[in-house]
Amino acid sequence: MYREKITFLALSPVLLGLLVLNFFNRKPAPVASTEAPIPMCAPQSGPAYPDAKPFNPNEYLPAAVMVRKNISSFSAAEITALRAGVAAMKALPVTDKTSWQYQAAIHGTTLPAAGKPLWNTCTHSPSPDAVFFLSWHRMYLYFFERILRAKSGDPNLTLPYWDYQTSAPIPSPYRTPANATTNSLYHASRAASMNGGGSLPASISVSINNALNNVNYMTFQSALEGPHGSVHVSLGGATGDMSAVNRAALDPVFWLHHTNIDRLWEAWLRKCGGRTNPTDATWLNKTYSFIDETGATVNMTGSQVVSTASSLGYRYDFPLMLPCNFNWNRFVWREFRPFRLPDPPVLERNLLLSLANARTLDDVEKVKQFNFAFQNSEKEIADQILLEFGNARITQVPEGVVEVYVNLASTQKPLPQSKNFAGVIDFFGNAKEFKALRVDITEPVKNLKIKATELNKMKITFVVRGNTLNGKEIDVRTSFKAENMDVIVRRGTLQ
Amino acid sequence: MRHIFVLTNIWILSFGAAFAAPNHLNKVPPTDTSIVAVSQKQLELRKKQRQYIALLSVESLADPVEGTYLLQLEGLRVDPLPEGVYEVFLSAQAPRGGRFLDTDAPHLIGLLNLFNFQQGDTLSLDASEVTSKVLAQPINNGTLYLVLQFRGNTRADGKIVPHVGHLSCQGARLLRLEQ
Repeated sequence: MYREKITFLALSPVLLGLLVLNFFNRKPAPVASTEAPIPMCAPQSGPAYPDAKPFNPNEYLPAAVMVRKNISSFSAAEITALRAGVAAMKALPVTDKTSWQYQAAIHGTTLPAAGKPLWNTCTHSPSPDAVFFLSWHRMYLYFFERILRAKSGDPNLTLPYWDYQTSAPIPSPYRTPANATTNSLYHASRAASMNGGGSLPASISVSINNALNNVNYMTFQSALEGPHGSVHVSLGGATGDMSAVNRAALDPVFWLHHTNIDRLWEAWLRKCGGRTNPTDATWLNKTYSFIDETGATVNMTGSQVVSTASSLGYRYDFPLMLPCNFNWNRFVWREFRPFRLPDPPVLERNLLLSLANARTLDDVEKVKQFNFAFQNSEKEIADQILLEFGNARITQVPEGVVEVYVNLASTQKPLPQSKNFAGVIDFFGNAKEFKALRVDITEPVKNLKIKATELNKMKITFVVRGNTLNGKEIDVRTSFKAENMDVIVRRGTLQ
Repeated sequence: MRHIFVLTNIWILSFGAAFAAPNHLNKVPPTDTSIVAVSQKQLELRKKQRQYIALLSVESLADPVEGTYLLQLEGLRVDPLPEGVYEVFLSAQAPRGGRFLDTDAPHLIGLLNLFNFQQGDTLSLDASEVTSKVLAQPINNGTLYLVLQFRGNTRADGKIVPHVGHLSCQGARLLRLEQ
C-alpha cells in the first residue's frame, strides 16, 4: 500500500491536490429549493461485476483495424447507418441492456438504480475514480460502439468524432432536421444557441491545447477534464441534458464529444516528448464492467485499453507517423522487384494496364512469402509498394495531372476519394526523360487488402485529368512512354 | 475502495492542520502548501456582468517562483449553469477598464469545470504555469488580479449569448504545493 501511495504521489501531485481538495471540501450543499441536486459519479463498487466474463481481445478483434473518422467526413450512407443504429437502440426498453437508456444510465441516470451495479459509474472529478477518467470512457465508448454497429446493420460503422477545435458548431446531422422522430441524432434538450447552429467559445480550444502541452499523463488528464466539462455545459446550458452527469449520455452529441476526447488522448501521445501512458499497476489493473452487443457483461482492465489498434481494433484517422522512439538508423531498406511489364503502351489519355501479362523477376519467390505490414512500430516500419517506370520519356506534359488507380472496376468512377486512388505521377520540373519515375501505390494496396501473391493480378488505371476552367474540366492529352513498368516492394529491416 | 483509502491516507498525511486565513475562508487548507495570495472578500459575477476582478493580497512568495500552484475557488455557486464558459485569468497588472480579455491571453489559467458540479463546491485549478510567469513580474502593492470572465456561446447570427446567471464564491486562494 505504501508503494502505491508513493507511486500516485509521483505521478501527479497537482492532480492529487485537485482530487483530494475537491473531494474532501465537498460539503452537503445548501441547495436552494429551485435547484435539483445533481448526483456525482460514484466509484464502481468492488473490483468489477462478479459474474462478468473477462475481456478477451481475440474474441472481439475485427479482421482489420477500423478507423474512427471525423463526422464531417462521414458519407450520406454512413450518416444513415448511424441514425438507424441510434434509432434502433432508442426503440428498445430500458430493461434491455443494449438499449439507449440502459447504456446512458451506465454513465449516470435519474432512474432508480437499485440492483443495477453498472449504473452511475462514470468517472469524473471530484470522484476519486477520476484518475480513470480517460480509461473508463474509452471502455464505455468501445462497448457502446459495438452495440451501435450491430444495431445499425453496417458492419463497418465506427463512432464518429466532433473536432470542435476546427469546427465549433454542432455537426449539422445532429441538428437538422430538428425533429427527434425523423432524426435520431437530434436532441431538443440542448442550449438554444448550439441547436441553432451557434459555436462553442474559443477558450475551450485554447484550454485543450494547454492540456496537450502537459507531459505527465495524470496532469494532462486532469487538465483535459476541465475543457471537457466546459463542452458539456456549453452544449447543455442551464437545463440541457449534456450539463448533468445523470442525463448527459442521453444526448447523441455526448458520444461525438467523448469520441473526440478519446481521440485527444491519442493526439497527446502523438506529441511524443516523453508522453506515455501510465505504467502503474493500480491503473493498469483497474477493472470496470460494461455490456457488449450480445448483452453479456464484460470486465475490462486499464491495460487492455492502452493500445487501441492491437487490443480494441480501432484507430483514429490521423496520418501515419513513426513511433516517438523510432530510429531510422536502425533500419536498412531493401527493394524487391517481383514483376516487370515490358514496353507498356504510350500513355496519351486514360489507360488501363493489367499486370497479368507481366514477366516474373528474380525476387518473385521472396516477395510471395511476404505478409505485408502497413503499420509503423518500434520494431517494424511499414512496407511500401511502388510502381517504377524505367527510362521514361514525356514529350507532352498535360495541362493537369495523371491520376493512378489500382483495381478500379469498369463501372467505378475514378475519384481521388476512393480506396483505389494511389496518387498522381510527379512530372515536376522541366525534365523530359527519367531514368526511374516512381508512383507510390501503398495506400490502395493496403486499402484493398491486396496480398503479396496477388500483385501480378493488379490492374492499374491512369486517368489524365485536365485542369478546371470556368467550372469545367479542360480536355487534355499527354504523351508519356516508358521502356518498362516494375512493381517494387520496399521493406525496412532492423539491423 | 482501495483508491479511496489511498487518497484518504495521503489526505491525512498532507492536509492536517489549520492555519490563519481571512474569516470568510474557513476551510482547512493542506499543510504541505503555503498561501501565496488570498482574496479579502467574496467574489460575485452578477447577471449581465461579464467580468469580475478580484484583488488577491500576496502573503508569501517562494524563491524561485517556479512551482506547482493551485487556485481554489471556495464555496462556489452558479445559478443557472451558463450557456458558455467562465474563464479564469491571473495577472500582476489590473486589466484596463473592464477590457474583455482575449482567450489566448498568457494569463488564462483555465475554465471553470461545472460538469458534475454541486452548489457550494470548492473548485481547484492547476495554476502552475500562469502563476510562475505572473510572480516573475514586479507586483504592485502586493496585489494580484484574479479575473472571472463569462464568455457565451456564439449564436448562428454572430451574436454572443449574454450572461444571465449569477456566480459567487466565498473566496479565492492561491496555494503553492511544496514538493
